[in-house]
Amino acid sequence: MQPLLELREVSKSFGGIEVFTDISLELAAGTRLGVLGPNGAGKSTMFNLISGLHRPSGGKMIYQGQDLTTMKPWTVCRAGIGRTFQIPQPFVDMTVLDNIIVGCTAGAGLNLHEARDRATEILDLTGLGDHAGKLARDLGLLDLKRLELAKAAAMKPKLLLLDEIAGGLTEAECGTLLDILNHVTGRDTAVIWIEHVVHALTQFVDEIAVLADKRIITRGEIDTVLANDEVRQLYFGAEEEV
Amino acid sequence: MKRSPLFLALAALAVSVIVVAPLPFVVGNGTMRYMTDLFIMIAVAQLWNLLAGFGGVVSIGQHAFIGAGAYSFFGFTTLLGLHPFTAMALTVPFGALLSLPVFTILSRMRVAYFAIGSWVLAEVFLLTAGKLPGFGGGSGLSLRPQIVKAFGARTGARIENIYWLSFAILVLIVLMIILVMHSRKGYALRAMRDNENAAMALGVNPNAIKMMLFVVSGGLLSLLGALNTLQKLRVNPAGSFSLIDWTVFIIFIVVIGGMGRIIGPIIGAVLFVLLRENLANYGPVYMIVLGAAAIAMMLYEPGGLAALPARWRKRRSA
Repeated sequence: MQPLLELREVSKSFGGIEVFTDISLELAAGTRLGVLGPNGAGKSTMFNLISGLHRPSGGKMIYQGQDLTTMKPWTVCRAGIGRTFQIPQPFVDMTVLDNIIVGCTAGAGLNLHEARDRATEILDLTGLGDHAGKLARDLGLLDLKRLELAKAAAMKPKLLLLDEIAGGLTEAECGTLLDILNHVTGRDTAVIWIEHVVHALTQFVDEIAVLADKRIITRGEIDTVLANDEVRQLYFGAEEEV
Repeated sequence: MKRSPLFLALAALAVSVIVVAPLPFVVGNGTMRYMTDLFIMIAVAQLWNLLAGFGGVVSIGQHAFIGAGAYSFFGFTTLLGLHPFTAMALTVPFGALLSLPVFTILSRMRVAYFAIGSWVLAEVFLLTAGKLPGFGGGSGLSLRPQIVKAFGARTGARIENIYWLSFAILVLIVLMIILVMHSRKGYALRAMRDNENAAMALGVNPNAIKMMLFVVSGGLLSLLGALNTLQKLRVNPAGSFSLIDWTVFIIFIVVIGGMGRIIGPIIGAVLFVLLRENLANYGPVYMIVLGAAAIAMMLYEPGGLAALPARWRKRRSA
């Protein structure tokens, strides 16, 4: 079967600086893939390429048989790829409800009436129900992360890209976030989740890939990857807290 | 019962129509002319606010379209012999079409370059207008009396008609902005203004929205330029394409009144006209006061006068 997303030898450099030389990756529909890697390995850059904010320097990206390589971000989104940003990017002068309506109308193509229903539903699922009328600029970190997730999930994407959505949260907050994540993503939604908080990641994903040395050094079942010597050395270094 | 913001905005608009439309039965010609100027100014400010305040597209060359509207109205009536009503209606597609290549050039530039580029293009328009054959060169030409008389044979009737025409156009522009802001496009627009990258990632195409705003405002500004020509009774490059009247003052009006709100340009324009009239005897003092007020406003409350009540409420409850 054709994979949902396929990256073939994708490379990216900014000016003379090579972020990665060769990322090749296949993702089947409904797969939940976690991505680990040291800071600066280019994990977020990979998301920026897939979501169309940046263009790859080489290689090809295929999504459901369509060439993603030169697609504009809004076309990528409308094709069913949702993403969150590492640093939450709310629409600060809009209410929480209106933030989500944007994704439902522009991204999922719903009319305003349907969008409002969908947004309200997602607000409840993400625990933001009480904040619907609040301006996004007045939210705290956990709520901002919730909103970030709600905006992307409201479009019911086929592929959801999560960028360090658990970063900066306490362990209890991580638990809340995992619950929310399970609520908003059905089993048919494919997810790529970049995360440093390994204990949160392993509770959600099916597989893990490790991005380091400008490429994907390994990918497979969670236990196998985490037991890999190269990964332990590269990623966990001195502090072993798994 | 809590009414929706859309309902409240439409209700406020309806009330202002009921109050302002019958004024010609009460006030004199001088006041009517004065208010017609105010309507045109508010309308221009609304369109600048639509671009900059709602859409984040900062142009300082929108006077190009006012001038283009004036000149096309003059050309359609005087040179092509079209009926003045037809000519006035045609200024809208004319301005809209003209704004397409202008936007295509400007859209390649980012923020500050966009602003400066728009100004430069407006200067090009002004210089071109001075060279066009049949428009009287640098000193311009007056509208022929029969063109003006199409809007009313007697002076009094004409002033009344132009008052209603200007007010109707202003109301339609405000109505359009209210409806757009409460439509799907309005959500996309506000999202784009707040955070363009995040908006794109949620399916918003900023280029398409900015182009739509620019074209709509180009067409409507041309119509307002034609209306203004009826007030001034002549076209000339320096007056019809006035940077001071149609961009500098307009920016002051929007900034002082409140950017990104429909009420902002209305408050700003009324304040502007009051200041100008009351300080008229002191020469350019009103410009100094206006400049100081705009700077003070930007420092104290970037949301303008329209944002002050909310600010004070917040402070009282804090």
